[in-house]
Amino acid sequence: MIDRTKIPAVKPSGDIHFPEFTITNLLSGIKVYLVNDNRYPVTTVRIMIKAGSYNDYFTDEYKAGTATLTGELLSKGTKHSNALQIAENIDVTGSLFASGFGYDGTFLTLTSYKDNSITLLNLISDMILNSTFPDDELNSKKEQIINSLISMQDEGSYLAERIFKYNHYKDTPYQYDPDGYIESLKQITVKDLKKFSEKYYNSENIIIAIVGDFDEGNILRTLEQKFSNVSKDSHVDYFDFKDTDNGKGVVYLKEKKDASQTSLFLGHSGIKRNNDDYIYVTFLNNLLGGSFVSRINKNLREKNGLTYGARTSFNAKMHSGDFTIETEINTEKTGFAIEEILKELNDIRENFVSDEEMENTKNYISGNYPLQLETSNAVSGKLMTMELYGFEKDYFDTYLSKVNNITKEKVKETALNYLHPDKLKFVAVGDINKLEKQCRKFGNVEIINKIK
Amino acid sequence: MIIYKQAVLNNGLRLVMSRKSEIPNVIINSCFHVGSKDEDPNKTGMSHLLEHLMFSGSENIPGGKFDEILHANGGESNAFTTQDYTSYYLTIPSSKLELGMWLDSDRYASFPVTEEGLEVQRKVVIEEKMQTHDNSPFGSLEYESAKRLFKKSGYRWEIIGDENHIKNLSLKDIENFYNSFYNPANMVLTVVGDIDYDETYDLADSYYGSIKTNASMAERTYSEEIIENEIEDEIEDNITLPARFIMYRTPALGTKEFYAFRLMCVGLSSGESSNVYRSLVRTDLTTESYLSNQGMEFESIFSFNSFLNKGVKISQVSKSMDNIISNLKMNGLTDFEIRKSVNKVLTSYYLKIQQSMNLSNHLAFYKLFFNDCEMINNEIKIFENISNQDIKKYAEEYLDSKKRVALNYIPGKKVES
Repeated sequence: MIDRTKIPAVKPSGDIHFPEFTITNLLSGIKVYLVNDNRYPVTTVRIMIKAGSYNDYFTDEYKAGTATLTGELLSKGTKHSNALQIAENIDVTGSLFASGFGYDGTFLTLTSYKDNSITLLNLISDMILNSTFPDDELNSKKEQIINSLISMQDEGSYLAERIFKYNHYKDTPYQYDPDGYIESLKQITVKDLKKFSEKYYNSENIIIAIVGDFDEGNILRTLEQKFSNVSKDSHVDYFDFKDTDNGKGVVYLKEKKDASQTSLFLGHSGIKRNNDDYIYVTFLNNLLGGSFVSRINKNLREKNGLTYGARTSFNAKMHSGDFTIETEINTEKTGFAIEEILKELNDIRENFVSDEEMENTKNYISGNYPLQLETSNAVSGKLMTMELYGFEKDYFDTYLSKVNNITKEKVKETALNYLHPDKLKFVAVGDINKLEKQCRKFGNVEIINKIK
Repeated sequence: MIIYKQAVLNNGLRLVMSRKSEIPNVIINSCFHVGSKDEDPNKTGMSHLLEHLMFSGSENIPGGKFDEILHANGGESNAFTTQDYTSYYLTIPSSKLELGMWLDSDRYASFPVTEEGLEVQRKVVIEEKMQTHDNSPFGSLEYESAKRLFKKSGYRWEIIGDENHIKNLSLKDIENFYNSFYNPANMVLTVVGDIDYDETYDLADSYYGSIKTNASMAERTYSEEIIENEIEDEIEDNITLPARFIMYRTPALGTKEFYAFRLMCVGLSSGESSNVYRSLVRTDLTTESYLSNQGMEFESIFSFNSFLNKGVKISQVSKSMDNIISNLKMNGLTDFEIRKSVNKVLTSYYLKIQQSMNLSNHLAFYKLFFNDCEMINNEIKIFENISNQDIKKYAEEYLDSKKRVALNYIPGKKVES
C-alpha cells in the first residue's frame, strides 16, 4: 500500500536544449533561420517584417493602422494572382495561414504537410515582393477592421486597456493599437500602403524561419531564386521615449451601463524587451501576479473570491514598455481590491521574498520551459523573438541557468526599480456611481466619455 | 501513427499511456464521464462548481496547496467541464511523475470538499459567470440556444448553471454528486510524455488502482423532443452591432454523420477562398461568419454564425446564409472544397499530435466515450471516405429549416460610446 500522507521523493529533471538551428544569409541579404526536424511530416514557414505600428507614427500624417493594413493586403493581390486565387492556392494545400500585426513586427505564418514546402515559399514570396494592394480589397478590409473595433468597445476589459494605453503612451508611436482607430483607418489609401511597403519591406527587415521536415538544399535554392530581387535600402525610425508616466495618479472612470462587474486596469511604465533586466522582471512578475499561484491572484481570487482571475504583466516592446495589473472584479469591492493590490506591491518592494518562494519559482520556470519548445510553430516564434530583439544565439539555451542564479536580493532590487505604486494610473470601467466613491481616494478622478 | 498502451486496473479504471519523448515532461489527464447534462434540473452548475472545488485541497493536501506544490515542482494544472465530461489535466517534468499522480489522485480517493472551500469557490464561480456570461457580449448565447434546442434532456441548460442554483448547492448535495459519478469505473486516466510504460503502469496502479469503487454506474438513457417548427427569436443584448445564429441538431460524436458535418464546416467556411467568406465577409455584410459542428455524447449542434457590419440588416445576411445551406443540400460540396477540407484536416491532425497536451486530450476523449483509442489513428481515413453523396444526404436530412433554432441578437440597452 502506498502512503498518501507523504509527498513522494522527486528526481532532478532532465536537461532541455533549444533545437539546433542554422542561419544563412541569402545573396539579397535576407536572413534565414532553418530548423530541420523530421519527427512530424509538417513544415512551418514564418516570415517577419521588422516594421509594425510603431512605424505608423513616422508616416506623413501619422495614420495609425498603416502597417497592419499593409500586412493584411499582402494576401489580397499580387502581379500574378488576385485575392481569390491566392486564397485558393493556400487552401487547396490544406495549409493553415495566420498573420499577426504587432507594434514592432509583422508576421505571416503558413503551416502545411511537408510536401507543400516549396509551394508555400512560392506563395509567400509572391505576397511579400509582388503585392499590388488593390483598392477594393483595401476598402473591404478597412470595413472589417472598423466593424470589429466597434464591437470590441462593447467589452469592458477592452475599454479599460485602451484607456490605459492611450493615456500612457500619449504622443508616442505606441499610443494606438496595431489596428489603429476608426478615423485613422478611414484616411488610409492604397498610396499609403505602397509607400509603407517600399520603405520597410527591404532585405534588412525581412526575416525567414523554416521549421520542420524539408530538404535543405531544395529550400535554399528556392529561397535564393524567389528572394533575389529585394530592395536593400534600409531605414531606421528613431523616437526618444521618456518614461514620463503620463496620467500618473489619475483615476480614469468610464461608464458601462448594466455592467455586472468592474473592468479594472492599473499600470505604469515598464521595461524594453532587450533590457538585460527583462529576465528579472519576468521572474518578479511570476511571483507577483504572473501565474495562478502568484500573490495577487491568490489574494483576490483564492482568499477573497472577488474575481475569476487577476494578472500582472510587463509588456515589453522594442522601444518602451509598461507594467499592468488587470482583473474583472466585484463592483462593490473594487476599492478594497485596489488596496489589496497596493499592499502586495508594497510588500514585495519592502520585504525579501522567502527562500521557499525563490526555489519554487525557479522550479516552476525550469519545469514548464520545455512545453514552450514543443511544436514547430513555437520554435519558429522563439527564433523570431531572438531576431527581432537582437538576442545572442544562445539566449534560449542559457535562459534557465540565468534564472537559477537569481537571488532574493536581486528580486527586491528589481521590485524597487520597476514597481512604482506612486506612479500608477487607475482605470475602472463599470457602474460609475458605485465606483467614484470607492476610487477617488486613489487620485484625481477623470471621467472618460469617448475613446479613440 | 500514434503508439499507445492500455490497461484496466482492478477497480475498473481505464488507463491509457503514450510515450512521447521530445521534451522531458509528462501530461496526466483524468477524465470523468459526467457533465452538466447529468445534473438534477434543480441543481444545475454542480459539475462545474465541483470541478473548481477539486483544487481546494484533499485529505492529504491542505487547502490552497495543490497548485502551490505543483507549481513548486515545475508543473501547471487546469480543468474543464462540458455537457458530457469533466477533464482534469496537469503537466509536470517526467522525473516527477509520481508526485503528479500523488497530487491528482488524492482528490479522487475520498471526498475532498470543505465548507470553507465551497464558500470561496461559490463566489469565484459567480464572478466567472459574470465575466464570461453576463458582462460579455453574446455571453447569453449558450443559455438562449440550449433552452430552445432541447426541451427534455440535460442539454437544455448551460454548463455554468443557474446563479440561484449555484448559491444554494449544499456540501451534502455536492458529496452525493461526487459519490455517484467520481468512480474509478467512470474514469479514464491518460498519461502522455517522456515515460516508461512499466513504471507508469505500476505508479498508476498504486495511486489510482487503490481508489475504492462505489456503487455501479447507472445506465445512461437519453430522450429528447423533436423540434417541429422553426423557432426564431430576437434577443436584446448589450451590444452595438447585431448578429445572427442558426442552429440545427445533428448526430452524436463519433458517428459518420458527425465527421461529415465537420467536413462541411471546413469546406464551406475555412480559409478566404471559402463560400462563406466570399459571400458574407468579402461582400462587407459581416465582420465574421463561420460554421461549426459542436459534438456531444448524444447529439451535436451544427451552427452558422454571422456578426453583422454596421448598417447591414439581419434580413440581408439571413438570405445569404440560407442560400449557402440550400446550395449545400442540393449540390453538396465541390471537388475543390472536399480536397481542401481533407488536406486541412490532415494538417490540423499533425499539429494536434505534435503537442502532448492535445494528444492526451484526444486519447482520453476517445477512450472515455468509445472505449477505443484507435479512433485517433482512423480519423483521417474516416474523413477521406466521406463522399459527396453522403454530404448531400446528411445535409438534406438534418439541415431542415423547420427543425432549426434561429437567434437574432440585437442591440438592446444602448451602450454609451
